[in-house]
Amino acid sequence: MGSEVCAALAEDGLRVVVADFRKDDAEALAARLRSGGGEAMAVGVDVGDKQSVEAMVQGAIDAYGQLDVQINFAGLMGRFPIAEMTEEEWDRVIRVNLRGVFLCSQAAAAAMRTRQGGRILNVASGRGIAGAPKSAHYAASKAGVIAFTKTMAVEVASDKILVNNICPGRAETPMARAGYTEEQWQAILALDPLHGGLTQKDEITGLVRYLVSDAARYITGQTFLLRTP
Amino acid sequence: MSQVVVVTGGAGGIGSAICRALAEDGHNVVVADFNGEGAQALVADIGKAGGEALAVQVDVGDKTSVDGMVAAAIDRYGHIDVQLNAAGVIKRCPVLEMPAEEWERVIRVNLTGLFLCSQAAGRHMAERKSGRIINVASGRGVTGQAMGSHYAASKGGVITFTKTLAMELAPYNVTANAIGPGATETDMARAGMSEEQWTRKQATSPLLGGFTQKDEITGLIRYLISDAARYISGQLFLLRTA
Repeated sequence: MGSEVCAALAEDGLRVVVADFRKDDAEALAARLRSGGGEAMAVGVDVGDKQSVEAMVQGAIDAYGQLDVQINFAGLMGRFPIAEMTEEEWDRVIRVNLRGVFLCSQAAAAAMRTRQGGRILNVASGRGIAGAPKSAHYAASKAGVIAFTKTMAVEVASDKILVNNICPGRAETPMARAGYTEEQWQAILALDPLHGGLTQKDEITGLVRYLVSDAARYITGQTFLLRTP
Repeated sequence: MSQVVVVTGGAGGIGSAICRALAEDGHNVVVADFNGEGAQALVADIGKAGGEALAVQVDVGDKTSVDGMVAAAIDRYGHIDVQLNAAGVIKRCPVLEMPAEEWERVIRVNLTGLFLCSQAAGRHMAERKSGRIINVASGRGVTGQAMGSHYAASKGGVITFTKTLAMELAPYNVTANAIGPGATETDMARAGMSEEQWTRKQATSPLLGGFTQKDEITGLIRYLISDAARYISGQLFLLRTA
């Protein structure tokens, strides 16, 4: 999802910082965006590590002088029933999905505050509302993201910083694919999007484009769902 | 691509902003309003600005009138792509003093009217296997509203009606969504607030509890009728925290 959003925003003429734990992938994408006429740079980041996150924000500011929009897409999931879930697995998912959103939002808002303006988009999930059997840690992390976002929106409104959630629904990504047999996944792929099928990637980029547009300049603390959980 | 959009309450505070914006984008707009003269005046305005629009007088609580509105839109433009139900009324009144007539008046326009318009447009769209219905709900339908129980109940009804409509129309490739704009500087919102509430809203920045700006609403509508929103259905889009 993140790569599609990067490509769409670069196409729109925005300057994009591709930040990913897999720095090689980020480099490759940034190079592809540049060769397509876009402006992009790559940063390796561990969103669960404060120093790494601060370096990411600093890298963006060093390169482009400012940070207008922080989109927190980084996320993990795993499929384990609660009865069998290890502490390590729980912590692994919470660390990236929730602590990572907190650290990235905090660092980005600090940079945005000095300019009195900015937007933060956090990718949550309908699973954070409905729960997710065999992914309790994922569901809990996303519920946390929703409540964190609403709280932060109130705290930073006076600095003209907007914080919103988007809940895309299930898209065709390796993360969503994980845990399904080939047969199960093919059945999901065959469903019509209006009848429980996958969210198309241009639906997500369309929502992001709307939320970074001028018309959305006062929207904050909201949760935008593309599918019913 | 140019679409045919029917807007009920089209001459009202929010509806008229939507009609103007969509006409500006090149869509064919049916301005449907109980206030027929207001609808005609807006259509004349849109025409002067180079837009295409049709005025229809409608009582959304009356099935015959609603069927006439849909027929007029189809007669003029051939079909309906988007039915946008923005007609709504409110009056401040505590529950303990509310006459049954006042309750009925608000429920009739806000909820029954929206059902009738969705049904009539929905039948046409189901036949064409294409269409979008957008209903103006309100965050008050989630939280309730002191001195506006009938309004809050009608909008709560709009939210669950829309979710149900989305499920029933999905097989026909017709989507249904609700929007909750937040308080906007309109005559209707003015009627729902005390003098003090109104003055405070006016003095407050939009980010800190002030009014929703009309271009925020038109921006959301533009997004919801765009190609990127073609599979979104059954959702509630709030522009302000309820």
